[in-house]
Amino acid sequence: MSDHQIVHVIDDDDALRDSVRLFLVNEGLGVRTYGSANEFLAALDAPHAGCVVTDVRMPGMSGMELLAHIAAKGLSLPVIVITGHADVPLAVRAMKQGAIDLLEKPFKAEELIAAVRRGLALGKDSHLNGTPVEVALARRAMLSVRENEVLDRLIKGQPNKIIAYEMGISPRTVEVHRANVMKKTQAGSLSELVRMFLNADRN
Amino acid sequence: MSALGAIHDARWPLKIALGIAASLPGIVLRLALEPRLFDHLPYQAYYPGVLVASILGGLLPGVAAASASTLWVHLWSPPLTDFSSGVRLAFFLGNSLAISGFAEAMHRTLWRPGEAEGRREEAERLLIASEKFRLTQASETIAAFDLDIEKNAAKDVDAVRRIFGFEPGTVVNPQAILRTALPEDVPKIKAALEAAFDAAGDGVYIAEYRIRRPSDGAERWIAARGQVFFEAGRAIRMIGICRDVTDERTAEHALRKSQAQVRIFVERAPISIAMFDRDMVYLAASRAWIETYGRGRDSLVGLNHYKLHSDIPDRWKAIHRGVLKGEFHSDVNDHWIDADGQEHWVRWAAYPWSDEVGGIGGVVLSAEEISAQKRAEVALRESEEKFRNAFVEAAVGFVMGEAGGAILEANKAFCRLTGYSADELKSMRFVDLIHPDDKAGNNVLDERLRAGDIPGYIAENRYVRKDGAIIWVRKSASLTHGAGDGGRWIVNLVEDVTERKRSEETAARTVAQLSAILDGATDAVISIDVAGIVQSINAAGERMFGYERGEVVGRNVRMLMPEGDARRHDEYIANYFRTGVGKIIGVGREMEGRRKDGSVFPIDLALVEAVVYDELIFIGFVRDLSERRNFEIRMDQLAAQRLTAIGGMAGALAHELNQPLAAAGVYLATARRMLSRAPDKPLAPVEDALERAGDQVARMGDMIRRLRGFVAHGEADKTHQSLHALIREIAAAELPEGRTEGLALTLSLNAEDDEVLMDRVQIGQVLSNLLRNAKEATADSPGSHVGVSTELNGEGMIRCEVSDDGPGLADAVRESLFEPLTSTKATGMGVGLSISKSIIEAHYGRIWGESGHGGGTVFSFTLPLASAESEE
Repeated sequence: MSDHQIVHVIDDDDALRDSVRLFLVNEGLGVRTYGSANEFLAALDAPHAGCVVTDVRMPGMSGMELLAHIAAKGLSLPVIVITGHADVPLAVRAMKQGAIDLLEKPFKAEELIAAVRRGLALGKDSHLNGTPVEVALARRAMLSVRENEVLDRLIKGQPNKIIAYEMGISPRTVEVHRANVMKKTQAGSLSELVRMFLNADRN
Repeated sequence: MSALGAIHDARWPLKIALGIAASLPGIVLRLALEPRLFDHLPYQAYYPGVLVASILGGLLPGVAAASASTLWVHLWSPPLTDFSSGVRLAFFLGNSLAISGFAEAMHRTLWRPGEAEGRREEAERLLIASEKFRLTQASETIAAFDLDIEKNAAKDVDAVRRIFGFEPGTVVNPQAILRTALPEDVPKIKAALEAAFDAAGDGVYIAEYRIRRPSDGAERWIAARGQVFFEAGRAIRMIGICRDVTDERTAEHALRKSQAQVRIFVERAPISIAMFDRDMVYLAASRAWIETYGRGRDSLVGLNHYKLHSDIPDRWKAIHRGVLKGEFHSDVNDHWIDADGQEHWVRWAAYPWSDEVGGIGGVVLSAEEISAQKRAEVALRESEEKFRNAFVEAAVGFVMGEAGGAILEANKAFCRLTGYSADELKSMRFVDLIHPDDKAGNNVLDERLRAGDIPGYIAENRYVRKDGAIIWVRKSASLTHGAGDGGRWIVNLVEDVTERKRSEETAARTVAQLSAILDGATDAVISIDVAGIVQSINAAGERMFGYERGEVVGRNVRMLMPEGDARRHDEYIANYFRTGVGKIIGVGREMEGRRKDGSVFPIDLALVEAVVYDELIFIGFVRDLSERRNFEIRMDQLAAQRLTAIGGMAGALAHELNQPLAAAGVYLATARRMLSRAPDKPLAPVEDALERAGDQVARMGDMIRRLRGFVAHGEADKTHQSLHALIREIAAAELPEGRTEGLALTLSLNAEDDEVLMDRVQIGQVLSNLLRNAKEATADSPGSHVGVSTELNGEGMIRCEVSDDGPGLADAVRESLFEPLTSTKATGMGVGLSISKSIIEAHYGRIWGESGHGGGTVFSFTLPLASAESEE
């Protein structure tokens, strides 16, 4: 079937690649695996839909570079990034680059399958990932001025210290604002927060 | 006709005339010779007869008149009738001359033919008397008289008259004399005259008597002496002299009077003096004599000295006898012991006194008791002896010498000091003893001393001993004067101070060594007094603070401190004295110092107080910590780097581990799903095992995540969380119920508010760490208990305590619990607690560990409540 959605798994670690393939196949999905981003790009057929699951740290082209490449090419391929080391800046960058999700190793397999299914469903409408804009805006309205400012900076990927310095407040206060933002927006994690408002920003 | 013939033939008157004329030459000659013949009394006596005889002889040849005296001796001459008168006259004259001369010669040669012995003596006496007579005639107080006893009248009595004060023309004879004599002396004169006139006696007349001079009524003493001449048993003539001896007698009288006065003088003399007669009977004695030797009597007159003092030594009696013979004796230092056993020292003189007649009337004794004096002398001598001994035996060297520099006396100590004997020293000069290098300086001082510029001086210089050794001496020199103008001496008091000098040198050397040590020290050593004034600073101090010694010593130590500390320093000192509590005494303390250029640098200061010669000083040992600070910073950096490295390593490790873990997790999930879809389910246990395996993988993943969180310098993701919920979760994970045997867990989550702003993962790590520690602490103890409790501390914080009843914390461990890389566990990495501390502190809380009541350990940490956070 031509609509058969393929999940492209890119990871330089053989065991991980194999285990993910096995898992996804068991879930009834078509999987193709690549040892590197270049290998994937070389084998890519334009009309094939699906989604990508890629590691970040790989020899040659990194996962982030692949993201950029896909975005530049305008391919409507949702990308799920898996990484051994996640921090806010990475998450923000990944989101901005178009990733629909970021999973930290070792991840729960359930999380992976959920993200893949979401990605496959989105397909072309990958941009529709995330919280509806209205909801995002509504939640934003509940924030105070300071909290809003902190939110914006968080989404930009600024660490707390920079936020504090630029806003002329203590890091502790930044932490307080940040915690309130997370609470009020009901974001489970920073990456979710980013996802939430990044789409809103984009739109 | 010749002269002789003429004479022969002449008529008698003519013959007489011729005879006379012939005698003229004889008379002339006689007169010429008389002065030389005066003392020949027989001549005097026989003169008239001689004269007659000569005339006769001239007239009548053949008549010889001979005399033993120097006379004209006329020998019978043969008639010269045959010759002319002239020849006969000439012959006569010549004969006369020759014979006279011959007779003279005879007389003078003692051959006096025909003269009786007695007559000769008498004549002798007469001759002598006539000489005297002639001499006394010359004196006014002496008168000679020639008394014709038959006629009872004296001749040539002008002088007598003068002496007696007779009127001119008065007949001088014994009666006249007697008339002038004082009545009481008349018997004396008469007796003397009778004795003289007695032909059986020697005819000597001696009398002394007083007269009253008729001329002026004056009382005069007359002394008369005379010789009576007898003829045929009858006194016929007395020739004598009488003298006015009033002056002599007055003198004698005065002498006798003065003897009386002497007696008075003796009696009243302040000295001990006594006058005795020839039998040593007291005639007079002075008060002092009576008191000393009187044996209690008031008067000694009439007492016999020898009877009074029976104990008089024989030698003194011999002396008295000698005195009575006219000897003078004295002794300045006699010694006797009286009958009472009392010792006397006596200075005495014994001499004769003369009576009126010029004999020795007795003895005068003057005695001066010098016992007291003697005792004083003895005492003086003893004290002199003592002084001398003191001088000689003194422990300190004494040396005396002339002002000119020659040594006169030196005591034993000085001899020991110098190694010379006293005799050797006496032939030396002061300057001979002095070390050549010190001579110049010493001379200057001595000159000033001699000149009187300085009364004395004290100096320290070196002597060269006899054996050549050199010693240091301390010398006190002074100039003394003898009695009156008796000369000047230099007296030196000399002590051997070689030992002191040596110990001074040693002390100086020790000081120099200590100074060298101080200056060699790398730490600054600064001493101050109680007012904060710098007493000393060593070389390191100079370098450290950038000052020179002189710029610091004497000024307040504040100058070395930064402003604030400087102001407080005086307070510190005052406080210390007030309370006795030193804030930094003894304890090292990190402070700051200020260099000369104003720069402030860290120092470690240790302060010590000391009492030096009763003065309190503070000594500070200062270490420049700039280096250490740098070192510490470096070490911190290294530690940080190490931690970073560990973090990096952990991160890398975690990253590496993640891969297989992830893969394993996926495989397990796949396996599980496959199994769940299988038509039959015979392998339910397999499924179960796979599930559990999956849990473990997930757990491993969590651990790795946490590990990465431990060392990552990433930001905490602080969100509003429930601490209690987290505690329960972690407790369930670390101490699952039913899984740990014998271990009881108690949760007492009593805090009313547990919402905190925290990074769930990080605080979870802390709780895991503490719980794991608690579990391991109780591992070896039976029936153990772990408890977790929370409560609010009232200051906006929530406190959580994790306690166990294990062995508890050792003191040594407690200090470094939270230090990184220290672990009490054999397999511990030693980062758990230190990272927990970092996490808690990053959350603005505190974490600490202490021993629990009743044993065990309690770890506590605090976190700020979310409600306590203020919004800006």
